[in-house]
Amino acid sequence: MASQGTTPRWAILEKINRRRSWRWARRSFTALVLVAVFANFLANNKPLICQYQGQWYAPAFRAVAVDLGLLSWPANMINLRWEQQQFAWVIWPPVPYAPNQKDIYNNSFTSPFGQQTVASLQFRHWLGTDNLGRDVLAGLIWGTRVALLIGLGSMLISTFIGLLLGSLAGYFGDRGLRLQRRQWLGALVGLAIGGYLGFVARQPLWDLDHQLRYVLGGLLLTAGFCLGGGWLARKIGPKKWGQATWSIPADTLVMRAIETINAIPALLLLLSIVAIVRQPSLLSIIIIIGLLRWTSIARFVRGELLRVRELEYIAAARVAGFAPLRILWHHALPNALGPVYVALAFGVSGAILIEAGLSFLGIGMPADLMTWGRLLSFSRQSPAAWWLAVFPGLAIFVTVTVLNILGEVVNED
Amino acid sequence: MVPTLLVISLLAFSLNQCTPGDAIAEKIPSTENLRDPLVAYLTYQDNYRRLAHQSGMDQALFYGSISSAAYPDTLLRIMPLARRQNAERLSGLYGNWPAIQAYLDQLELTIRQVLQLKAPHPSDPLIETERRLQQLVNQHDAPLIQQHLSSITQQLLLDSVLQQTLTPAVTALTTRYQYLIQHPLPYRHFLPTLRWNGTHNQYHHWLGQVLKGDLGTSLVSAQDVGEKIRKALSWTLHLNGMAIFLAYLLAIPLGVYSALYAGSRFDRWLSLGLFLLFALPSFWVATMLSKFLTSPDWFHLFPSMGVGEVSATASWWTVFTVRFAHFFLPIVCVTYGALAYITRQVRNSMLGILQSDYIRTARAKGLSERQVIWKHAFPNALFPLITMFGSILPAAIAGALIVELIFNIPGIGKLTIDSIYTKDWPIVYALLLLTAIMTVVGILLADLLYAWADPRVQLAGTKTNNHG
Repeated sequence: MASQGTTPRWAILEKINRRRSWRWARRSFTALVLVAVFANFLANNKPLICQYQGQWYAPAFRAVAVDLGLLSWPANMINLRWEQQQFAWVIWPPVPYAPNQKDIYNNSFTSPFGQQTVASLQFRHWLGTDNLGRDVLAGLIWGTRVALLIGLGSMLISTFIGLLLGSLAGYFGDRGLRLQRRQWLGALVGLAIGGYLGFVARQPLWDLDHQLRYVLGGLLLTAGFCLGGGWLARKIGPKKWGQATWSIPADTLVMRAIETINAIPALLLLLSIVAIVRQPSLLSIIIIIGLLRWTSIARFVRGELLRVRELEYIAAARVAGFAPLRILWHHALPNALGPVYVALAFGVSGAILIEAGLSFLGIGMPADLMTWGRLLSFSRQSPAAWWLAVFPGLAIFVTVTVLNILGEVVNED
Repeated sequence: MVPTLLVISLLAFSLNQCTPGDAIAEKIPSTENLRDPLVAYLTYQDNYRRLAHQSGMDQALFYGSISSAAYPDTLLRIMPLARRQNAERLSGLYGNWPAIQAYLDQLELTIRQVLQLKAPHPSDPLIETERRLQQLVNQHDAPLIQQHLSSITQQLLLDSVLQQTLTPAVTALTTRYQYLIQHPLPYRHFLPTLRWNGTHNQYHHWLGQVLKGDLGTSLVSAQDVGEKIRKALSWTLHLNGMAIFLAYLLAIPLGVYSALYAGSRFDRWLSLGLFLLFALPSFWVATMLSKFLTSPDWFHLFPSMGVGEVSATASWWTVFTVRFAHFFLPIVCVTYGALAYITRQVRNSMLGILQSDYIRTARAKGLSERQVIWKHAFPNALFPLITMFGSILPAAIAGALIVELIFNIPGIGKLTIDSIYTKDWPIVYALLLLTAIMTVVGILLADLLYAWADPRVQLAGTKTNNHG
């Protein structure tokens, strides 16, 4: 394994090109990412380029800059309804509607094939509208962004936690991670101090509804003090008593944590946590999903490292005197990433399904965010509106399938 | 197993503590029929205190607690909950409890004086003063408090009776507030205070109740939570039991067959089909089926929603047909996901076994193909199914969550979601605990069953053998 020139990571990318279905999956995924990135220019109620009152503008682009805080609107354009203006010359985005824009002429479930009150073919609602006249296609395009953000963002967190805990558990096991006694002491003292400063002393933040800041800052402070305490104790701690080592039962601890999280049905746990977040935002959902779904990645890494650590080249590296963390990071982990890739692909599709489920139920998602699940839930208001049931569901299904195919690539030869 | 359950009980308990809303205020009897405002006010407070004491809200949360010295240990005695939270916020902001207490006590005194004056002298400035004071009770933001205080002072000037009776109280209130904001003690946040509360705490009480089988009462309907869950659980178990049974029934032959003919056209199409089924979100399928097959707009093949009305005297055949018609579509939605998963497992496990040495031996000694497959390979291929069963039921219950909602089946899923919508938290967290217990027990049973069925497995060794 180690003698191969290419690392498995690149081998996977080459492997994808081997079969037609895999190539298609890769292309579809790229297309989805492009749609998500360029949603602003694919579906927007602001023109891409226009000549308005004798001046040239690029409102859709300017809106992005305004959202990023780089520019601001001129005073006469802050509340301008671009879709109602007359232009000397204009290029609209392919879908000239914003996701939450209400088209009062085509409200109450306009069918894609039915009569539509639109100025021209360009303004047709190709996939119909919902009860308030919101364009389904625009919703789908912007929903892609939400789905991928949540899927990829939460898996980023999950991968980090899963890799960290899984490799500690798998590589070091219950005996391998030995710390000097003084390091233990320092880390425990640091943990106590950091935990106190991070969570007890900062309690006013929680009471004043800065929940996200409270939890993240608290975790950071605790981890920082714990690591810092261990480091400091190693530097200055007593030598004679402190140099004896105790091991951390890393494997047992991690497996216990995984067991506990897996004991609760994932959606139920998520629902009951998400439901009490006072100001739900995209970030809070990403973090909550990310913090709950690392278990499969950790298990795969652990299982793979249990195998890899017994291989001869690892023993050789140990004999050569490399530091354990260096062996783990440079030598063992790269060879354990194959299954992680599978878990990652299925994790992203799982997170997208969870997001769709949450927004279908309308629990824990920001109320003004247009998502696939939310569009699907609109279909329950009208039995006749088939387009609200078919298209968003199809978007979810296709995305999940594509991701699952990408995950399968590693499993098959 | 026990530590896992303890951690989960802690999780459920602490999540329950974070829920917004005041359970006691919801069920307190109205005091509006009392003529005298002061008496009504005091009665409300008494009632609240009594109910809070009954529900244990005045107890500490846990066996021990650690907090910063900014918070007083008497915080738990402040009622109602909104006031306690406000005192908590003020403590967090200023850390000077004596000053905060002085301010809050004076506020309470002023409110009582105003209410006393309300019956004999209900003037507009008095009403306005009372409104402002009531808002001060829940206010921690300095500019807003200042605004209320100065506005109250101005109201007093409009009415001579008010001016005479209330000026000392309001002046004292303003001075005490000014003192409070000018003398914050932020360093007290860095002084830890450890307290030992003993077994007289909310968690202990709650856990004891749960172990006795009492899951509390619903906030919305005042029903027993256990009773509600029991009813819902029966529907969910019917739905999921049926679905899992069907899934196994179909998956075993499909899996065995495709393993026997691995690589054949049947195998490839089945793999593709199962792969797509696996990616099909059940709530989409449920939405589509309920939309197109149960509504008069499209094909009205099935009754629309719910579990159907059956009279108590109906024959079993009527009951069966009504239930079958209502449950057919939901069962389909729950079954196909499990089917895809189980078939894959059976196929893989069977494939692995067909390549093992003892099957080769069996073939070599001249056993017929049928004997080899059904007598030697098949029973061994079923072992993984036992382990799987432990995790499939909870997965199915979670998967059926939205399906139940869409088809309006009053099971656990619909109960959970409805309880979240109506903010009926005791039900939500009781369900969380219950499903976790079911999962843990299911996995344990599966392990035991496995050890009983397969003598090669020793329970102590399973821990190291069943990793991913």
